Amino acid sequence: MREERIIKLLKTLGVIFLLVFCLFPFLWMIFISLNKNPDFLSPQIEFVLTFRNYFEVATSNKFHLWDYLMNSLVVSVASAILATFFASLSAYSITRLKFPGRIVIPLLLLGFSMFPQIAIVGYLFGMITDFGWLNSYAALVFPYITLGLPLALWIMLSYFSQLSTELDKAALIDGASRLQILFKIILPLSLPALFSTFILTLIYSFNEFLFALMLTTDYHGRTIPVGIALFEGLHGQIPWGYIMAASVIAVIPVLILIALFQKYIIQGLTEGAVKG
Amino acid sequence: MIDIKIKNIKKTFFTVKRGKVEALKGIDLEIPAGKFFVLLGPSGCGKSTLLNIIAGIERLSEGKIYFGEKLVASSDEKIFLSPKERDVAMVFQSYALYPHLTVYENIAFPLKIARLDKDKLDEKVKWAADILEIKNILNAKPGELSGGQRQRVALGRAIVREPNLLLLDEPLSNLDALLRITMRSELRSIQRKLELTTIYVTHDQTEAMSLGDKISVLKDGVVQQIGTPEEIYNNPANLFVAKFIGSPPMNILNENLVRHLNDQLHFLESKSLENVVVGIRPEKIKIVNKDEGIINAKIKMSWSPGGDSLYYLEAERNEILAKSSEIENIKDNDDVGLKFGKDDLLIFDREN
Repeated sequence: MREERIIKLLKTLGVIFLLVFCLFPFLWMIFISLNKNPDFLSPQIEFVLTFRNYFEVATSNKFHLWDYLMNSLVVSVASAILATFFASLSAYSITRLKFPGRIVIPLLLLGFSMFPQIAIVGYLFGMITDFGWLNSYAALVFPYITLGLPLALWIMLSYFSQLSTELDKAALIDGASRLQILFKIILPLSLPALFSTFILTLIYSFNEFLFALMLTTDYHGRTIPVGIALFEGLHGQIPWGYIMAASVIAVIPVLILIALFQKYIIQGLTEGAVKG
Repeated sequence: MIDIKIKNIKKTFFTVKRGKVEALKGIDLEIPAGKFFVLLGPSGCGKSTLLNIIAGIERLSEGKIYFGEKLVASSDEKIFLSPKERDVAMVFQSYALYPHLTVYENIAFPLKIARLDKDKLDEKVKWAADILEIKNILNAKPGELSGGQRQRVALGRAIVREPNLLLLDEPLSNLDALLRITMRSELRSIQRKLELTTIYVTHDQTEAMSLGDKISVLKDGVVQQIGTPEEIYNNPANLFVAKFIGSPPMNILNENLVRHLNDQLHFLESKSLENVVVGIRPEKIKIVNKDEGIINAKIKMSWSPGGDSLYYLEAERNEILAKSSEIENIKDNDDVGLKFGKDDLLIFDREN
């Protein structure tokens, strides 16, 4: 009895610690964004509530907040959809068709994803410039598909390998082609995996910084993480209040998406452990 | 209705664990049109591989398959027709229904793929549902159905196209005992009604015996015997078939007992004792009073699992099982005689 209570207490403390650990930066971000005097590096913090930071970044033209947000959404949604699509095609062929190298390909892809981004950014810059894509959506969408693909492929692989191949056989017997099987049978049954792959690759592209910094030059192509990072104050100081307010606003669309798909994402991520 | 000819099919594949595996070692079969043909064998004998090869899901390594006059698979001519081109239907052990589609959509799936127009499709689905008596569950999803109902839906999806050939891969083994027996007879009557050429794979010999017009017994990728259920039961081609068919299983007699019996019945003729294995089916043994039979035996145990009585006997240090439909007035440890004729004994060459 005593022991149970101690365990329960420890568990509760653990959860509280984790929550504080994870949520504190966000709470701090909100706190600063609402503070009239956002110099949070000084030892005495006085808090004066204001919404001026939000108002300024949302309305002032010099910040281009809505341009950045729009760019981010277009780029990340497009790359997430395409990465998920390509991942489903390849996961299907790897799990269902017999061809040489089908075991090596996912491993290679995983290996490539360990390459530091900084190692390829120089070459990528040259390539994108040659294509004439600099500062366009395409400059980010294509690299993001490549970056998201390893993760997307591995999620889809683990999901597809759990679906009975007898379904494929049955559909083959019923006269369906491989593509028909994928689109009419396998994908409708993989909605949880599709959603979680989509959301995870979307978040990845939404947050990506380095490529976005190198491959875009102004608000026509720049995404929100880079946009916010390059906010400038009046005399070159860092405008923490605006940065934090813009960050809070930038989190909202992703939060909405996750809230919408939450049920499926959890299902998709835990599907491997417990057979549904 | 077409007949199927299978000529010298071989299948070899490689696995990391087992290396080169010869799943089928030269199978020759002729499946007559409109008949119910059973592939019977223990697990791992290659029967499901053979079925997949006939269906066109797997490729053969060597050999030829004819559907009627048409060559559908050949290693020499590099011909391999898809299941669609072969026009086969199949029912799987797991039923393999599409979980996200309703029963109606499941049955309609092959017709939709074939781009049948809507009225014709509807008519066909209703026709199949009528035969299988599943009209009342057409709007349900497979997850809501019982095993027996899923089985019917899977069968409905198979027959709705009226295929050239119906393939059944252990379709009844996931059902409970009672349902299995009713489905068995229903399956048989549907097959007769539609006159579908049917190949049925099973490891269950009672199922094979009660369903098949013809049975082919397989072991280790080799056909052991092809024949009607009666032929296989009464004249098993070898010891494996004799042991595999029949429930309760055949008795194998030891040397002592064989010598003893041979002194009276002279069945060995010119064969020598060391080169043969002698067996007798439990139901061929008649239990009589002591000293009235060919040999004497002692009852070790008896039980009646409904209807028939089974006797567990010992004769010449040989354990023998006898089956009788008459309830005899015998107690355990009684001494009795056993009676049977020369023709009741099954004699096989001893395999090395």
